[in-house]
Amino acid sequence: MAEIQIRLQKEKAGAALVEPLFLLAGELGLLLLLQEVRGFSFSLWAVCPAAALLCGGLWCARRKGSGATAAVLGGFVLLCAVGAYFFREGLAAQLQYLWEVFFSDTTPTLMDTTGSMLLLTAGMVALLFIGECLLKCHWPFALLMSCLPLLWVLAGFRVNLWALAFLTLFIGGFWAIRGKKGNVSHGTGISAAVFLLAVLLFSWPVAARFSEKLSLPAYRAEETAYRIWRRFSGSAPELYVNGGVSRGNHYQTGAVMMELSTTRQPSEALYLRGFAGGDYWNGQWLPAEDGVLLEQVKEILNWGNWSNMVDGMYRTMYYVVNRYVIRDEPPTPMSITICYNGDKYPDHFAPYYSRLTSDWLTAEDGYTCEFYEPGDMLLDWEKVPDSFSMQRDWNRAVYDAYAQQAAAAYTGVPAERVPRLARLAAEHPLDDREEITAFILQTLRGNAVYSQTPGWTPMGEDVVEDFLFEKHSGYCVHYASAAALLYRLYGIPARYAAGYLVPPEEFSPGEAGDWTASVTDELAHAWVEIFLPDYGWTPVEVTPDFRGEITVRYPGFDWSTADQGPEEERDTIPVLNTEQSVSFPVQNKVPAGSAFPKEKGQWALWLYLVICLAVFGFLFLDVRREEILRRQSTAGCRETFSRLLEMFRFCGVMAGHDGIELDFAQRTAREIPAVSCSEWEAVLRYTTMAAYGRGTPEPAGDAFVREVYQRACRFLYLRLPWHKKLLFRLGKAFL
Amino acid sequence: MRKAAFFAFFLLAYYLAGMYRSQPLMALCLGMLLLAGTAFLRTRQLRKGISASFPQTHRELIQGKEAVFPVCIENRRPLGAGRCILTLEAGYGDTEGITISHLESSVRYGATDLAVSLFVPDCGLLFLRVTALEGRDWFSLFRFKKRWDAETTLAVLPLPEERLHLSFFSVSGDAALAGLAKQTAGEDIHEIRQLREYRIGDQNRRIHWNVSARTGKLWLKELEGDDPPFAALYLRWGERPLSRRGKSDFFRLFHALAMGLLEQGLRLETVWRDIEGRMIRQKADSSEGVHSLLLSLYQLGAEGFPTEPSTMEDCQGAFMLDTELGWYWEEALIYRFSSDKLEEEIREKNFWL
Repeated sequence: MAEIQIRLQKEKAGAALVEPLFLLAGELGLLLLLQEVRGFSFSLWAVCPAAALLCGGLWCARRKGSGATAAVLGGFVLLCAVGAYFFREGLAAQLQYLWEVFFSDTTPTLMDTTGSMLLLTAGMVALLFIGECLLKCHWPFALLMSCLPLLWVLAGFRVNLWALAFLTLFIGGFWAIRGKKGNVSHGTGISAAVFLLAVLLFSWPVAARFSEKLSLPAYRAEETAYRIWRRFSGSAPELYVNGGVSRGNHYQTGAVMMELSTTRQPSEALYLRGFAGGDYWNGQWLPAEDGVLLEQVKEILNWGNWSNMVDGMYRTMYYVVNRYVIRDEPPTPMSITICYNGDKYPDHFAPYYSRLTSDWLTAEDGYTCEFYEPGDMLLDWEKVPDSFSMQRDWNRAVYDAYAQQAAAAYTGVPAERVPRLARLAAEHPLDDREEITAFILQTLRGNAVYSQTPGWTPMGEDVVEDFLFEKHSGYCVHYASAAALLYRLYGIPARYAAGYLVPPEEFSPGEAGDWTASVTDELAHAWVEIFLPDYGWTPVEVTPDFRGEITVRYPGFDWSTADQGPEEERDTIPVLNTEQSVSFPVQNKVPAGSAFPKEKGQWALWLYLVICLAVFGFLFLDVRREEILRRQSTAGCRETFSRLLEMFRFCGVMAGHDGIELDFAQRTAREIPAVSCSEWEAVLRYTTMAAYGRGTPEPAGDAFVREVYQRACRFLYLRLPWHKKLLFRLGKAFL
Repeated sequence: MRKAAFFAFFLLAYYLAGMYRSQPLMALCLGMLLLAGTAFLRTRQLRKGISASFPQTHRELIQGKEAVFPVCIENRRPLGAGRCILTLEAGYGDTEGITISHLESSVRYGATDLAVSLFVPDCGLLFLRVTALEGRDWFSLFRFKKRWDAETTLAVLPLPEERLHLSFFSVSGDAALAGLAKQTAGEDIHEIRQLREYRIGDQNRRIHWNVSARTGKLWLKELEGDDPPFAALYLRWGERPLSRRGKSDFFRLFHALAMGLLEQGLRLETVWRDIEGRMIRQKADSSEGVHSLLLSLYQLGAEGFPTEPSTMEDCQGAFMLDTELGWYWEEALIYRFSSDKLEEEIREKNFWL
């Protein structure tokens, strides 16, 4: 039994007018994204018109029918294949270049890739067209286009706002016009597109102005998630002592890491070093290989069976020498007991200028060190008693040998990984250590702000360079790493150091008459240490304090950024130009082997653009013509008659006649024999009734008038010269 | 699904925009938030302002032909816009199955007429009902659904050109009898249009006694100026309720028979019993009259044909049509039509009466 069928009558072909616009938007978005990839260099002026032409051509072919679509698609494929064959050598070189850009560690010479981009564009347009317009399958492409900007951000490529706008138009536009079952209406698509653009236009200035504040909830969420994870997993908070320079944010949990006990309250901040960095590679400090250096020292000293004393002497010589230096009031060393909160001691934390007084590996209740505070250090190697002179000489020999090795070991920088830092140092040549220190501190203060949530460093970007040249925001690990690298670039032995920085106010009187402090992960810190003559490794604090000022004191140097005057008066602060990338030449330079050589490029480009414009214009006129004819096919007799008179005027037939003349029918029949006089009279009758009659026009009358119009059209068309025929069809769209 | 994907993407993009300090991405996230807010607002507005109704114009359709039927969707809220899905139910008022269809269209401020294409295979009274309105914004992020009750009734008529091919065996067609009529009447033969068999109720003075005597049957004179005679048609209901198809066939056959009789210059008087057992008589002398008759029968069919077997008192000189598609003349079966081949039989069979 047949069932009742109910369905909605859909609009005809005119409903899909917005599709080519959305298609083109998607394509342009992709091209603009690709242009931001380092190493990608192609001419937008060549590729964008080609993309527009392809989108328009395919869409027009689709309106003509599946046969035309298949023919055009096949033509594209053939054209691409022929082009690829004839230009195969150049294309192969370009593809090889693109492969190296993405997958090779070396930086290839910049090459213009317009040819391969044209091929890629043709492929992308065809793919988008087939997926969106033929298969009407929006989800895969929406997913792809949505993920691309996110992947770009992750990879460290810039995301152009226009690229985002175009991609959003593509995703949102097709999303809007794809109803539950196919197209809904082009009016919906246009409204959605306008709305999307307006929303982006409004959002951009707001985002640019309040970007920091808008990001805060994301950081809060990350922090909360981090704390919850630590609580439930029970794992210890990450510290800096693994040598890794964090590529993200730093959150604290307040967990107690160790308990300290001193004989008196320290008068200065106490640096407990647990890690010293040796080589730097890709955001990671490898542990300093002092053991290797000491072996080399032993070889240099050649003390034979006494060589095993070198390690112990090296670790305690500053403490020992300071103890024996002749002074009016010899300082009293402080004793500190460090008791780690946990089952094992992952690292050995010790203050500077100290000596271990208990075995840290076996002490379950903690280990003890004696140390001198930096303010009590006065290493005058010559001013020692005679009884110590021999011991002094031995220590001195160790020191000299070690200093020699340290100068070679701790001045290396992988310049190819940090080219901008290397260029900064090269552009500001300095020799004096104090001048170098001042320069580093001013650079850090002038180009970065302290923040524990500086955001993530994109993949492929060095974290230190990202800190100093891109984000301009970071915390102690970034400051310390940047300073260490800069010191090394200037030839000063420097190491990244990490551990804990315990301020004096953390200590409180204990029950046993000592001073105790609970060291939490909030006191974890990183700093740079430089090898000073006589003093050895000396900490240099390069991280700004709560006021944003950096104060550095080490023997022979007392400097604070706060003492340098107002910021605007500081001529010496280097302002780092972040616009120029040193990885590749500036993008707007035409690379060697450009697709458009300077001599012939200009006219070839213009010719190409003119051809594109002409073809596009033709397609546009054809689409317009089809729209007009479609509307005409359902027009009433009055509109059709007006069109008829317009056609007569264009063809120079029946000049001066308006259809109201008594002999109109006879004269027209003579001019246009394809329609008889009685038929013209019928046309006039129907049109008059429609204009002045009481009832509604008859559909049969409308159809008759349209049929007469078609016959008259064909008759007149055949008698026109070729240039008027073009205008007749494409310009006026009579036929 | 779309909403989940949208907000999942938003969260991911926002997180990445915050972590990587990407202003374009943050602008996109802000834009998405605005979009979602606006979409929600417009959906709520659309829910409050949307309504559906049937315009009063179309009331009849032709069976088996696709017709375009307007349904008006109106949105009274200027801010409301999006897509609307109408749930349309169509049926014949019986329990044989209701067709439910969901039609989607975009909606803006003001009234929108949807051109609904309707194909109805059976004759009868068809009800069309909008039972629910579902809406969503352009991006299908938010949706609403509200019950609605708008109903209209359509009469699905048989094909107007469908009629039984009838030929009456009348005296005017028989040369011998025509000659008799001429010779014996002594009247101007142009006055006599035709002779037909006598029926109860006819005037005695119109009996053509000479022809009647010759043939042994009573024949009546129909003069040129006379009104066309009535053909009585009794409708006989069956004992079992009719299916939707059965009713449609019955209506179709009735219409074809009525139009065939009218074509022969007759007027139709249809007689049937309603549910309460009352005798209903209705006359028709034109296609409009048959149309009106049909509508009356549709009403009866919608309520349900009486299932008690009716006793036809006196079918002499009258046609009878039963719900089993049997066509009788005075209790004698002329032909029983088949439901499967009804159209073919109506189209091709010729009946000499």
